[in-house]
Amino acid sequence: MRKIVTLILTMSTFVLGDVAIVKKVTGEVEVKRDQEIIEIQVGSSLKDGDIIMSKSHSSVGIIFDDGSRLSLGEKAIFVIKNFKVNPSKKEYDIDLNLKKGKAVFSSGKVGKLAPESVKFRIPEGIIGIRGTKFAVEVR
Amino acid sequence: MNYRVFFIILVVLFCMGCSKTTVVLLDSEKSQNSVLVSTKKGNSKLDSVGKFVDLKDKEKAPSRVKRMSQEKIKSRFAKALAASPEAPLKYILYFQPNSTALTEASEKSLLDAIASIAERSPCMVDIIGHTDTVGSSELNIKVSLKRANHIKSVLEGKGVEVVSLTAKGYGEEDLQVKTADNVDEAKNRNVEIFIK
Repeated sequence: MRKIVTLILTMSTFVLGDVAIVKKVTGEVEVKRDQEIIEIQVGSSLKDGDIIMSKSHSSVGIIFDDGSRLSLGEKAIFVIKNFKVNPSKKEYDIDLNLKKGKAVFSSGKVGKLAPESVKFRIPEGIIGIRGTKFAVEVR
Repeated sequence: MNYRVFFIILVVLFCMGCSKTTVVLLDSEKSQNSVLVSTKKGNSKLDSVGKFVDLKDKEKAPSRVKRMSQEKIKSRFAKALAASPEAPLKYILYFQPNSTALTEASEKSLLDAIASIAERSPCMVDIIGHTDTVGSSELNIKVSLKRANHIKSVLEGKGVEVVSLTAKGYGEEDLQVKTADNVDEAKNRNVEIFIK
């Protein structure tokens, strides 16, 4: 019943400004970047400012540069507002925003080194992180 | 079967129709595991697995903390849970004293890391150098980067296929063994291969 699309692995080169890669996709998942809509596949890179949108019967799993993991169920909208990690300068700023749908988030290195700089926003407020895995649904 | 599960969830949502967002703590397999859910009007701490709150509005405090069963979590978040990537893998390599040569055990870890990179493809790999706390933190960043670059060139020599391969020097910022400043600690002089 669930449509699992077989995808060609694209070994795209990770460039400066890339903050995450896509590890799992089922169905159709798009990213809005600047004014463009791009369909993402396993191996696609994600950037600051990307808005991830999963369609019905679709899901996506991504891993961020610090090892944080995020997965979204169907019909989700998620914004990577900011993802800056620079431990040698002690600069951390992670700002994520779930606008709609279901998400599972597991924090990575920054959740351990500087948990106060991880902001996971939901429409009603904010989820502060202390070395954490959680699930959230926005209806 | 899928439809039946979906139907049950819909009914539950309808019954709770007044709340909009639900946040539930999952098992992170880490000792430290909690979240603080805040709105303009208050906050709630979720500090054990299965605890959850409902939120209605940013002008209202979160609901009282309740508990969701594992079965309920599994059914309600099934798709998102199934899409969750595997946890990153970490290999730590140690060096022979005053040398860029790895210890015997670490030579083996390096081979394991190369095998994992192939298994996890497509993946990003970070090579992170660490030092102990002897010397200035600026110098230690340089030393740790040198160690990381050395391992990076070893991996490149083995022809690993990755989306990205970066070498970073964390210096004494993220110690494996927490020590005071200016402490000679062999375990802190290492290179970590972080496979995402």
